[in-house]
Amino acid sequence: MQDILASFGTLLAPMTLLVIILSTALGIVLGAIPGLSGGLGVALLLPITFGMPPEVGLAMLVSIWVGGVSGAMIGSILLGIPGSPSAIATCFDGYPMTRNGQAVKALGAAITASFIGTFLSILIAMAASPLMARLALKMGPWEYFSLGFCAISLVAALSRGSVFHGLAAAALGLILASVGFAPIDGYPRFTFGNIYLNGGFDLIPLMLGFFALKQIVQDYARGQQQVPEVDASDIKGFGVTWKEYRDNTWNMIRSFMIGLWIGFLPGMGAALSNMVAYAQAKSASRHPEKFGKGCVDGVFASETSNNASVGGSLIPMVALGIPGDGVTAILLGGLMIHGVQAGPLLFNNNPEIVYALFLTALIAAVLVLVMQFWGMRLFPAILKIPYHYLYPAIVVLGFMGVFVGSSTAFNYVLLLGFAGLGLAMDKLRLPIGPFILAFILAPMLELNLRRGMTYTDDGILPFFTRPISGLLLFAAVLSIVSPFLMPWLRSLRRARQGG
Amino acid sequence: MNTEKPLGAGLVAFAIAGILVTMQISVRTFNDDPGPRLFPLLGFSILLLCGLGMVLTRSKISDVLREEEEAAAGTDQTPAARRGAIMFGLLVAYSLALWLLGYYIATPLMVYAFYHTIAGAERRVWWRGALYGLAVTGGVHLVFSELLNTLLPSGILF
Repeated sequence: MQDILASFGTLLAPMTLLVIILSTALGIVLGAIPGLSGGLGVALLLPITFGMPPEVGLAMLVSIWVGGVSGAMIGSILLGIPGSPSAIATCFDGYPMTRNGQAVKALGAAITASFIGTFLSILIAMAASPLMARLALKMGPWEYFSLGFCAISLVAALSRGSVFHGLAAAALGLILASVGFAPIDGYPRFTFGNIYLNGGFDLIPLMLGFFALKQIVQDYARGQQQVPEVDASDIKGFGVTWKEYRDNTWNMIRSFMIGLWIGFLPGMGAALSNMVAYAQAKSASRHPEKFGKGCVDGVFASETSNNASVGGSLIPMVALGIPGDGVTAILLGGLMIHGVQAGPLLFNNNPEIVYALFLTALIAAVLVLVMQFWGMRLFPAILKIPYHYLYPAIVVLGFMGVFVGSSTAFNYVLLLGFAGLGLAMDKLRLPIGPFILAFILAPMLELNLRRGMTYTDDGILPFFTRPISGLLLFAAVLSIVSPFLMPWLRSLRRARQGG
Repeated sequence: MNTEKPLGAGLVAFAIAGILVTMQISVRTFNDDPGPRLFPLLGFSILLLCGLGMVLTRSKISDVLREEEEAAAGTDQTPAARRGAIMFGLLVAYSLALWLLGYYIATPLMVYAFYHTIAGAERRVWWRGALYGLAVTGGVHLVFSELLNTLLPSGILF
C-alpha cells in the first residue's frame, strides 16, 4: 500500500501529470488517424524518454498506448477506417451506425465500453497478476496453437457468405503470412529472390491498403461524396440509453473476459480480442441478423474487449517479462532501456515502477473518458469535412504511414497490392475479417505448431489429447461443420415430427 | 453473375500450384521438427478444400448478400467500375510520383489531383485545391519531419 501511495504521489507531480495529459491526448489523436496507431506513437516517442526519470518516461509511453487503443475507434466509427487493428471489429457496426445517422450513439457506446474495459482490466491486473501468471505457465504450445486456430475458425464460420468463403479467406491469410523467413530455421519462403520479401509482409501496408485505400476507391466508385449529417446539438450523456446499457450487460462482461484473457496470452492482444468478442457477441445475440448493419451490441463487444486487453497484456509483461502484444514489447524495451528488468522479481526490486505503470494506465483511462466525452461533441465535425478534402489527406497519411516504418518505396507496391487484393476479395465475397485475423495470428500459430510437434515424440497427437487443446480444436471443428450440420438436424427433426 | 464456381476453380488451381511450390522447399530438420513446409501446406490444403467445396456444393449465401447481389444486378456497374479505376490509377500515379519526384514535389501536385477528381466539376475551385495541397504537404511535414523527426520520401530524380 505504501508503494502504491508513493507511486501515486510521483504521478501527481504537476510536470508528470502534464506529461500524462498531453500524452493521452496525443495517443487519442494518433489512434484516431489511420496508420498512426498509439503503438507507432509509443515506438516513435521511446527515444524521447531516454532523458526522463523512469516513472515519467514510462508514464508517457503508457498514456500514449492507452489513449491510442481508445482513440482507434474514432476512425472506425466515423470513417469506417480503423486507426489500428484493435478497432477492426468496431468498423463492422460502428460505421454502418454512422451511415444510419447514429454516430453519436456509436461513439458514446464506444467511449463507455473503452473506459470500462481499460479501468477494470487494470484493476484486475494489479490484483491478480501473480495468480494468472502461474496459470498461463501451465499452457504449452499445443494450447496456444489450438486457441489461435479456434479463434480463426470461429471468425471464419461467422463471417458473411458461406463458411467456404470465410475459411478460404483465412487460408489466404495464413498463406500470405508464410512469405518471408520461416520461424525457428529462418528458411526464406515464397520470396522468389526478392530481398524486400525476406521479412514477410508488414501489417501496416496491409491494414492501410485494406481499409484506407480500398474504402476511398470504393466510395469514389459508388459516387459517395458525403456521409449523412449528424445532429450533435441535443446530446444527453453518452447518447446511449440505460436500456441499451442494461441489454448489453452480459455482452460487455463476456467481451471483457475475452479481452482480458486474450490480452493476457503472450503473442496475442487487442487486435485479436475485438474480433473474437465480436464473433461471440454475434453468435450469442438474439438478433444476429442486425450485426454488420449498425448494431450497437457489436460496438460494445469490440470496444470492451480491445480495451480489456490493455490490462490483460500488462500482466505477462510485468509478471513474466513476456510481452502480450507488439506495443507491450516496445514498452518492455522501454523498461529495459531505463535499467528495469521485468519479470517475477520486479515486484520486489522495483515496486514503485510496477505501481507507477498500473496507476498511469488508470489515470490515462479516466483522462480518455473525460477527453472523449467532451470531444464526442466535436468528433462528428469530422463528418462535415467534404470528401474532396478528407480523402487526399488520408491518402497522403497512408503513404507516409507505410514509408516511415521501413523507409522503402517497396511498401508503396505492397500498399497498392493490398488495396487491390481487398477490392478483389470484396468482389468475390471473400470476407476480410478472417483473412486479417489469420494473417496476424499465423506467426504465432506456426511457431507453436512446430514447437508442439518437437517437444514430444508423439507428433501431432498431443494437440488432440491434451484436454484444453483438444477442447479448443473440437470447438473449432464444431464451428466449421455446424452450418452444414444444423440444417440436416432440422430436417431430421421435421421428418420425425411429420412421421 | 454467379462467381461461386469460377472462384472455387480458381482457388483449387492456386492451391495446387502453391502445394507444388511448397513441396520444392527442402530443409534438413532435427528433433522431429516438421520444418518450414508444414504450415504453408496447411494453408494451401484448407484453400483446396474450400475451393472444392465451392465447386461441388450448391452455393449457400446469406440473405443479405443475396439482396445485395440482386440490387447490383439491376444497375449498370460500368460507370462505377470506371470511377474506381480512375481512383486506383491516381493512387498508382501518387506512388510513382513519390518514387520519382519525392514527397515535396509529388504531394502538392497529387493532393490537387485527388481534390480535383473527387470534388468534381460542381465543387472544385482551383485555388482552394492548390492551397489545400500546400497545406497538407506542410502539415504532414510538420508532424513527421519536425515533431517525430522521421524521414520523408525523397525521389530518385530530385
